[in-house]
Amino acid sequence: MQKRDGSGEIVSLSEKELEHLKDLARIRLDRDLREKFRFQLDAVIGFVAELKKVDISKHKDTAEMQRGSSRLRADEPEDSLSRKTVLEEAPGNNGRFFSVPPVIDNENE
Amino acid sequence: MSALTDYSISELQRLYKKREIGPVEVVKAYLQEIDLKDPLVRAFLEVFHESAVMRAGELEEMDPEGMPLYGVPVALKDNISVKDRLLTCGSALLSQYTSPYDATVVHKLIEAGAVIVGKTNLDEFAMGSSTENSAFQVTRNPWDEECTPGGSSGGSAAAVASGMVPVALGSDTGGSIRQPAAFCGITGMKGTYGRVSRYGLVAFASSLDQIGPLTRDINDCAVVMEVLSGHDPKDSTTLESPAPGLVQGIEEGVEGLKVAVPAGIAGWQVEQPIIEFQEEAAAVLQREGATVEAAGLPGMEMSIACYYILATAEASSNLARYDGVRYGNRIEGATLREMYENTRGKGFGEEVKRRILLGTYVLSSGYYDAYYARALKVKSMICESYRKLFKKYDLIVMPTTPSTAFKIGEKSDDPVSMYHSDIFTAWVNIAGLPAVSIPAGISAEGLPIGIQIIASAGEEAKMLRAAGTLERSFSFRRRYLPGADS
Repeated sequence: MQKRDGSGEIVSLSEKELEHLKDLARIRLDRDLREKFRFQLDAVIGFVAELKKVDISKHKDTAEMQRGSSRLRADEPEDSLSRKTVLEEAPGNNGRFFSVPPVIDNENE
Repeated sequence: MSALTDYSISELQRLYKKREIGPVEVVKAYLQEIDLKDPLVRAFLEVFHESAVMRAGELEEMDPEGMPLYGVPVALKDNISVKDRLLTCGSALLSQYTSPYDATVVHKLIEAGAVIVGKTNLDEFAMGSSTENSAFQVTRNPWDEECTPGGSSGGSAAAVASGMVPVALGSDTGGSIRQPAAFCGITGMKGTYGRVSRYGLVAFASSLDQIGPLTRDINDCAVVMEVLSGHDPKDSTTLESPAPGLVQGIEEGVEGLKVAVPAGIAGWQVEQPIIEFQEEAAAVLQREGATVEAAGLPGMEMSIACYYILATAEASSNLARYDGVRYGNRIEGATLREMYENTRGKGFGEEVKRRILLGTYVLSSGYYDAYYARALKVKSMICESYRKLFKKYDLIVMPTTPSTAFKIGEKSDDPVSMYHSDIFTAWVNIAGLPAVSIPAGISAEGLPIGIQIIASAGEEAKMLRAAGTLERSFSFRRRYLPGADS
């Protein structure tokens, strides 16, 4: 992957990079969409790269903790959805389990 | 428009208690409005004709006392779960998904006596600023059918603006309640992050998402917000502090409040009529006894980039669950991986795919530090600078959007330009602050203009004092609606 920064350099998302991203995200992209996305994502990445201009060197906090909040509830079991209810929404199920295509004989996995 | 659909929530309550009207006739009147207007506006994905009338009938047997939303029809953005109802999120992937449980806000609405009348259109998974990203239909702005209603809660905003419901709920991740409220000439509010439970709201960017009301005026907004607010054991990010009383403050005025207005606002390419209403808002507040000063708003420039990194990173993770296994539609493949890729490739629309890919990019090895980790630091800097600013001021008053409603199709192929329309709203979510947009007036083209009031965390009541003062002065509904409605 080529380096990019937001300092005005012309950036371009390579076909290989887009291929890698769509693999990571498990999204099939039709051929006609690939060119369009390469162009659009490139523009968006160039836009969010503006953030590199911000001086963060003096700032230590990486996450903003919410103030006066975030309490976990007591760990007490409550009624949950029944297996039947949950499986009813599953596109593939045998009445007891979710069913999926073969997992093991898959060269890509 | 029949008179029954003109009443505010408090007028409805008064008439219900005196038994002068009943929930069945009111609900039927609203359903009639929907049947009449929605074929053009296309705000609703589903209308609950039968169950709404049935519920209204049940309410007639009950005492309205202690039910602040007794007999009030409410529409819900279709990313909020109602048990045994479709929950599509505007996505082809979930076109047949039925929710097995109620969101906390739905519980609260029902307990308060509300009647759920249907589900409204949205940008797929709430990703968008125009409601054009719905897999099902394009919603039109009731003020101009060639314009978008804004988004992503565009269906909810259009439904309220066209008088099809008095109240709708939306969700706001970067402005998705306030921007459509501004575009449609209504009131829209998001509370402090954690004020309203997100349990049962389909997650987009969990650290930014908040549910809130879209209503015709600030009083209705306050009544609904009081019902929705409060700690929920099912959402550990909800605030523990008790929800503030909001209705009372609306009449209190702004005497003694310190208000900041943004310095150099013209530099943000704001349309001239919007600047004029912003100036009028400042003048009104000053006249009513507030101190108004121009102040630089820190981080506005970087907030949009920061927002689109954080929101897409969270979205790419949150939307990993749509894999064709547990729910939603599946597109088969020879292998598990092929099934995942087919399902997500066909099931998600273009904008959702773009955002997942961007989120994947900013989180991926080699880019994480440069984008995501940096954006978290910038978020923390933005939060800190606003904590400082709010030590000096009680409120910030500024336009909700830099432009009025844009045309359908105008920005749909230009994501960067679309993202820019969130410039005045997204930073508020990054900072976790409460904000409300109220209608101020209309442009020469006849499109509504919204003014936004922002308070420090937990100060919703103060915010509504200013909103009430401005609403009385702008008198938007009295000035612009009789003509628009006829």
